[in-house]
Amino acid sequence: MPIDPYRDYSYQEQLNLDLTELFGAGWRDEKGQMRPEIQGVGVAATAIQAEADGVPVQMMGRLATTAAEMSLEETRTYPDDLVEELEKRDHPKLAGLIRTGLAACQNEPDFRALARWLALVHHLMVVRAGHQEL
Amino acid sequence: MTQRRSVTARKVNYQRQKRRLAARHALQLARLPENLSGGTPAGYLQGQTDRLADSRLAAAQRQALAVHYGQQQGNRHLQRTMGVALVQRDDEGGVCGPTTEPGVCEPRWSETDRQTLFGGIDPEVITLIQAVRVQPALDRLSEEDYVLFRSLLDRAASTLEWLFLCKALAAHRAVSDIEIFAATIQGMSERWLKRNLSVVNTGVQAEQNVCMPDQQGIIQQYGNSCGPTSVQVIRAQSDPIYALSLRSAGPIDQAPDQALSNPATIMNPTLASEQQNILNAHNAAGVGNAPTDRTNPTGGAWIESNLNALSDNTGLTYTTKIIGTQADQITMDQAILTLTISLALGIHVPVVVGGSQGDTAHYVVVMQAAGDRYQIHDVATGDTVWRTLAQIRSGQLNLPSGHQMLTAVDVPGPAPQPAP
Repeated sequence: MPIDPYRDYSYQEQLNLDLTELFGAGWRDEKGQMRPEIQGVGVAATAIQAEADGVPVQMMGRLATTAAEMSLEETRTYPDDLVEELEKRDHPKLAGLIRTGLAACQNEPDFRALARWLALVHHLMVVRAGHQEL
Repeated sequence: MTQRRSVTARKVNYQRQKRRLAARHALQLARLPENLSGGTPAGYLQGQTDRLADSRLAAAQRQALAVHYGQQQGNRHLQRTMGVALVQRDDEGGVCGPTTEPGVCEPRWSETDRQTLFGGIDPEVITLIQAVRVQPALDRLSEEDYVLFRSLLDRAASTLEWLFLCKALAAHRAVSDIEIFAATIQGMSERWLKRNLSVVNTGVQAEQNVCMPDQQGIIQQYGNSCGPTSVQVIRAQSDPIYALSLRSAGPIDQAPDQALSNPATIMNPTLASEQQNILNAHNAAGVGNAPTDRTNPTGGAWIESNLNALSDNTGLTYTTKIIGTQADQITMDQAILTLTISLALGIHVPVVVGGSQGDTAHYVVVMQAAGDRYQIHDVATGDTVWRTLAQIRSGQLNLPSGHQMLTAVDVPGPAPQPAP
């Protein structure tokens, strides 16, 4: 079921949302901006699902850092660079989602959107981890 | 799930690697220039230092020579050669622990360990000065910590992993920290280890004005935090646990234009807050300026006190020397000699650059040298570039930040010896 960027999703809905089609319409809209369903519900649901899957915030931070440093060309040469840690530490669901996102990248601006999306997911996980400590 | 190699297979591979390293070192030693390949009688400290710093040496030859010195005369001698603090050890390279028989000292550090360590010297992994600090750090461990650390080394899935554990110990990290670190890096690939345990891409070969975007490293978050960022470079390149923590907090190669006036745009709060804290402390003490936005670059602070606060991690202290003609200044020749010797020993050197002599505008860090080329990390842009000796001498650095002239050097020296 496609994600409706203009609808409120509950925590439970986001936890169970099938994200495999998140990048089906590409990374960016006709104005070149990250698609609203990716930067809105997509970020929140990914963060919630990663958290539920036990992905450490620090691991997500390293993932975002690596993506920020890489180019699409380099990622195509070394596709494992982004997902190696997730896969070796037994988080195949998020790794699979990122591989799907990589496959949806048509050009460098798309890949920059992916890197920004990962940074947003990381930020949200940091915020949520902070709130959980309160 | 990744299939793990059996312990036996790893041991066989380990021994094979050792034999390859020994053969490689023998080959490199055989290729040394004639007047560098002679004997190394004990006591010829200056001679050995000069040999290690000889610009004719290729990196592999310098590494082989270091291993050769280490084998012939022990790490203790090599460390003295490099002017670094020593710790008390017995002459056989062993230490007497509470579990050993009376009068018998079991060596904690074997010849194989030594060969692996010195064979692994690589600017992207561990430098000579860091390698030399490993054995003294190991000897200082309690028996309990030693047993734990040794078990971590035994469990390392690759030589590279093993080397980074040693590097963390050389930075005087607690073994309990190293245990957590070991679990994080266990089984990761060479590319992952080199990328995540460093904040500067020293593998960059570019000679152009800037490096490729995907080769950038740590960048200053404020308009005047070049000094604090250089402190972070020195610390992170010595301490892989710290490097990993910086990278785990978010992108290190991006900086917002307005980190001060719009802190919500900061991508890596750890990176930014450390830089901000250093500048604020200097400002509060009346010896520097508070942080500004990158859109408003201005003077920052001299950061030698911050570098020296890291002496337990690095084994070094730094003294700022302005390049000039006055009595308390150093000449360009002396500055270049300092760079050459320090870099040959694997010491990273913060330097100050500007538009002309006396203009101490901006900190950058010289990471390594190869022949007459010097690799510089410009923290203003995150670019790592190579420049020639001729460019340094002629004041035509043309760094990514726009600065041209080397105007001051933070001269490294040995840190005070720890109490026995």
